[in-house]
Amino acid sequence: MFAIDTGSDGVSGPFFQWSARGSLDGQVSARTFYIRDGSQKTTFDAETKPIILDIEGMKTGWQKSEGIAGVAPEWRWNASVNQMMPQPSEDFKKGFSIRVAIGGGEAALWEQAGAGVWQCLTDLAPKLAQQPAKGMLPVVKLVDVKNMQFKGGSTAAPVLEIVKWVETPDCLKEGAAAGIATDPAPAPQPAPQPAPAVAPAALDDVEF
Amino acid sequence: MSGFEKHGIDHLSASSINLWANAPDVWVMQYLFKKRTPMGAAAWRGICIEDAVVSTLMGESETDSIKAALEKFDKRFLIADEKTTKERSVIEPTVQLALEELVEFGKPEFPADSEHPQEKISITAKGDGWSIPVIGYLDLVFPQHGTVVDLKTTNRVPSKMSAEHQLQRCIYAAAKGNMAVKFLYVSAKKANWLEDGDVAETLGRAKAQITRLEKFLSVLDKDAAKAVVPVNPNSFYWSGSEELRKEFYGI
Repeated sequence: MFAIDTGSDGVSGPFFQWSARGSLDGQVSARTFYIRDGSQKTTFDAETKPIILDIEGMKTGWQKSEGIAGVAPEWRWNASVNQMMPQPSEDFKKGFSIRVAIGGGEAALWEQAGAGVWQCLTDLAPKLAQQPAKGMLPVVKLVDVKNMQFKGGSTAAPVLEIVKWVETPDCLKEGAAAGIATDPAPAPQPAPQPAPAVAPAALDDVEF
Repeated sequence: MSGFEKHGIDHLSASSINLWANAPDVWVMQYLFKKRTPMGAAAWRGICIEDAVVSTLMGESETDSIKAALEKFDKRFLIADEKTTKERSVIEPTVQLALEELVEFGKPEFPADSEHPQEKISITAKGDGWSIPVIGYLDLVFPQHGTVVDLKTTNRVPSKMSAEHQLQRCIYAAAKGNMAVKFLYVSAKKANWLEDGDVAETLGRAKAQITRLEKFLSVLDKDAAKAVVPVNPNSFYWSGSEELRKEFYGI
């Protein structure tokens, strides 16, 4: 199952992918997730089979793909998910790399770029920021598919929803250290020193 | 019953009055239907900078305060894009520049025993058969200097205050009597102190807008308000909330 796949930068598969338009070979329908393992593509029903996202090992960056089978896309990774480097050139698209648990003790790599999947991730980000504790990962499921219209075309973005938070499963522990960890610790709030309060009588005493 | 009472509105603020005047469609959605537009990266950057400035003025180390501000920003924008990265990058230099301007004032004072860390002020707008408090929260109060400072972080420091900021300043000035109310505009490269706007004149204009708002509310229930208010999809106020607008108004 964990074969080396030279079709994606030499990193180990299987690969979890979103398909907005379906694959040319007909193996994958439009607007679905699928698992690619070698040359085999299998539709993955993320509506009924939630996945776990390894947000602590997540990376973001820019991807340039020639769109040629067998040619690995070029990635430029950000130093941190909190900072996005300037676009290297116009043919680079925003993307990310995140390991996902797909059930049955199996993990896959979701490494993809493009407007649809980036929108999916950024829509989910405010919820991801509510990580209850380090080591807790979100279980998400597909709840909708959003159409995105641009001047030069359109795509479809998956909409994911967090079902619950769980401890990191064993299948994600192995590769967690490979990514750039996010810091889930809540930021300390500045605490001004107490000072005399405004007397209530001082309020509402000016009319206009 | 006034229009405000009819809709359960018990106070206004400078931002509420400005929103009513500039984008009544957004106002109806926010204040009658309680649907808020999300806070963008620029606004959040301002909050983080202000936190760091206050924290440092109160005695924390500048380094720790900036670190906490960056962590707070990162927590909100977990996955950065170009816009959030740009806003994040100005936090440190803006804090440093703001502190250079404020250090001579010493420690600001804050209210004790308050859930809100800032001093609340309130003045009352009164019209024919209605009255409504107009409230605000002061960023920095320096009683020993007789000065209130409102910190405005921006990517472009203005040479004149906007009408919206003038209203905010005049509300504070009216409430704080003989204290000077100054707005400190700070970017990553520049700072400027401004205190524009004649208080009586500005509050007079605001009262005219509040009077129109009260009348609007008195003659319409919230569904009717939603149905008749002009919707401006090109308004800056909808920026980043386009989907919310389409969902709410269908435009």
